[in-house]
Amino acid sequence: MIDNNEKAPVGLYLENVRLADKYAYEGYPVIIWADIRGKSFVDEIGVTPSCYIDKKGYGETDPRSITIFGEEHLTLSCTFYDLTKGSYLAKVSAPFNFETWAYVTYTFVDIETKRALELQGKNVNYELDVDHLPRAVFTNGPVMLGMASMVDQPVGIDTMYNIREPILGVTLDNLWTEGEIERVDEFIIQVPDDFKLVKCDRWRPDTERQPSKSEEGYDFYTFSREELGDPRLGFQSVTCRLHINDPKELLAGAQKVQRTFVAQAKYLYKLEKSVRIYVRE
Amino acid sequence: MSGNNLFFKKLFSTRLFFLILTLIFITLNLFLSSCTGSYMPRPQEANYFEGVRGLEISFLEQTPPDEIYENSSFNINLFIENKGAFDVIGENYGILSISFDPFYIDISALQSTNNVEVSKNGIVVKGIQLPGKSRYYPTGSEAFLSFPTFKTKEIKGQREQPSTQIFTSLCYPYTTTFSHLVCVDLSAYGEQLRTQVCYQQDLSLSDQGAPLAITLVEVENQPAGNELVRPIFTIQVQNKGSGSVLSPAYNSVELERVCSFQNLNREDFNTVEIRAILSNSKELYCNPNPIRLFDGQGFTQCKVPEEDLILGHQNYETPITVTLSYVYLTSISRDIEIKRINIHGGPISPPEQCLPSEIEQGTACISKCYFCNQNPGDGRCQPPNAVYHIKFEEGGFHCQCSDDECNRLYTKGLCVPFSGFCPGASYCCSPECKSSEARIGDKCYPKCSSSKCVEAKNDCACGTLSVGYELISEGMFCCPEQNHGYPDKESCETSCSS
Repeated sequence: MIDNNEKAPVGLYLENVRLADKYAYEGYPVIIWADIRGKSFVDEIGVTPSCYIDKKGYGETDPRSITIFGEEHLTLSCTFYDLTKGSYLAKVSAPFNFETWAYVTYTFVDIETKRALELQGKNVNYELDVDHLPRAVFTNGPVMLGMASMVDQPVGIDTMYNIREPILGVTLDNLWTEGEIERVDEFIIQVPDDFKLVKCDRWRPDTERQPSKSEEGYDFYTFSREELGDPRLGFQSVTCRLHINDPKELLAGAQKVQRTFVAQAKYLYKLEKSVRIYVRE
Repeated sequence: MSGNNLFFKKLFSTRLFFLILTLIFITLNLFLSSCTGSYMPRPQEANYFEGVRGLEISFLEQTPPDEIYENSSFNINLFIENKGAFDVIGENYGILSISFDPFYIDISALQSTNNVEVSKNGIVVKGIQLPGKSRYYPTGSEAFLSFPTFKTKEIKGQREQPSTQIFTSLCYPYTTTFSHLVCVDLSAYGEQLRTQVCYQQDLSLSDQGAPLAITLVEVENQPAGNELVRPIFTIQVQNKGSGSVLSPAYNSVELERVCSFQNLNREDFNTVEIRAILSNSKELYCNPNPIRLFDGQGFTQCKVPEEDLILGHQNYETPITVTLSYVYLTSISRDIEIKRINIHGGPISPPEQCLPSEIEQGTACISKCYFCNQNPGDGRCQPPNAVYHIKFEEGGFHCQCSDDECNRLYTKGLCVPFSGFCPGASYCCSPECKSSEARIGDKCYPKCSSSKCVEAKNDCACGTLSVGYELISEGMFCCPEQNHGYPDKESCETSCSS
């Protein structure tokens, strides 16, 4: 589920990519114009436009960077110099660094509480006011960051043997149709320090890793570029298990305990459009 | 005659007195009747042992609020009532628990005290005491609890309006008491010719002023030999309240263990202790005891023990008193939505002169890629998250690769596949030279002939892997061991042989 921020839905569009002149001539600069239209939410969006002709290199863009804050409409130009006679395919791209967050709240109960309610013929979800599946929310943007929502709630904790390790999964997928994820710069799963992230499928053969940092009761597990693979190959995911450090301490006298897990992806998203240039003598 | 007169006078005066007295009484009676109706009110004993409610909790309106801004304090105010017939006082106190998700809510301002335990999940309040319904509290007793120290945390990330839940449960020991006349029917040993005061009859019941109710008492009087009769009562118990039944607690330590869900086992749930007494003195033997509830109900059979078997010929009614002891748990929850204070973020930071992928050098901004190419030993050049060492020292690094090409070169340490080195979607790389080429500066040049002093047909890299390469121009003669070119063959051979 996308976060309910309809008041300012994030969006960025590269459109109307066009040549300044119908024909280009040798010895004269070739100028391409393009429009960028966008809306930001909370954080500004920084775009560093570029244009490229294969085997010729990059053109000169103006402005070199664009900041979208709120709702904005801007035009950029890209100039190629010294193009010799021929036909070229110029690619105008508007890559921008963006961040998507995802949140999922799990509810934990003592497994005996769960069983006892069931024995009484009661629906544990109704009695404890817990949804059957956790509600995973990701923030608005070009990428969908889904968190495991197929874990039945509430999650029963075995306080005696502590052998139950629920799953926590995060999937990353392209949401917008006009661009693609160029690269994932940072991928972090934030886990409350009552838990340890273990047996991540991206860590094999390792089963445990130390968190990269700890802050305000949360441990941050960072996944490297190598562990994640290439986002352009499509759907990718990280699935781990959650080991509860001390089940009794986690419950701490409460009938049910709620904990929110957070995933955070920082990535470069690229909007790209092409235009054909014919250079005459 | 005078004696007769005196008699009549006395008689008259006595009659007159009674007549006046009667008139006064009638008048007074009429007067009183006109004021209060046609009857005198008679006090009526209320039955407090009805209903299926025990202790109940509810949130007061807007505490917690439905919506609240981040970084704001709010109250949780609770209204607790004892609507049942049992007193929750003394050692039999209630335990209140308020839990929440610490990702959104904080109570670090609240300190633990004797009766209040604070954890990051929530708070546990012990010692809740409320008398039940009685002539002193005809509608039960009530209490307000106010917790003013809750605070919403700052919303992390980019969510606009997350929602979270405050969950409150109240755990308390409770008792259901039932007392009624049952018939001890002694007709098992023959026909009784006389009309009996009662006959064996089951009792169908609904509630007794507690969430757990005795709903059926089946009465059976079994012959036990020697004209003795053994009354047996099959008792059905049902959870009619909205909460859950835990196990009975015999002391405060046990109560706290059960109510704080510590070291629980299966027997700590759905368990009810029963005690039954016949004729105010005969303790009945109940089996099973405690009763385990399945699907909210359970049964037990209580019988008179051997030493108390009943001998007689005429049926009679006698009271049976049943007491159920248990711990009951009831809960409520409320969702709150946390609103971001500024959905458009803070003020825009002034535009930086350099892009994030650039380094300021003097008054100019140069790409970090170019900087590292020039300063390969600089500490800022090796990305901290890189698995492979980036060989800036080999030179040739420019923002010139696509992602595909960069991924291929990265494993050889010839490209940086991370952000912060080049603008946009270009990558900082040094294209790989072919095996027939050598890198000099930023470019790959064809290697000169490996034989000594052969004339170069074009610009080429003179040298070997061990000594390095130097670029020589077309027409020069290369001495590979010295990685040096000579303008003529003779000088080359002279220098090269020495």
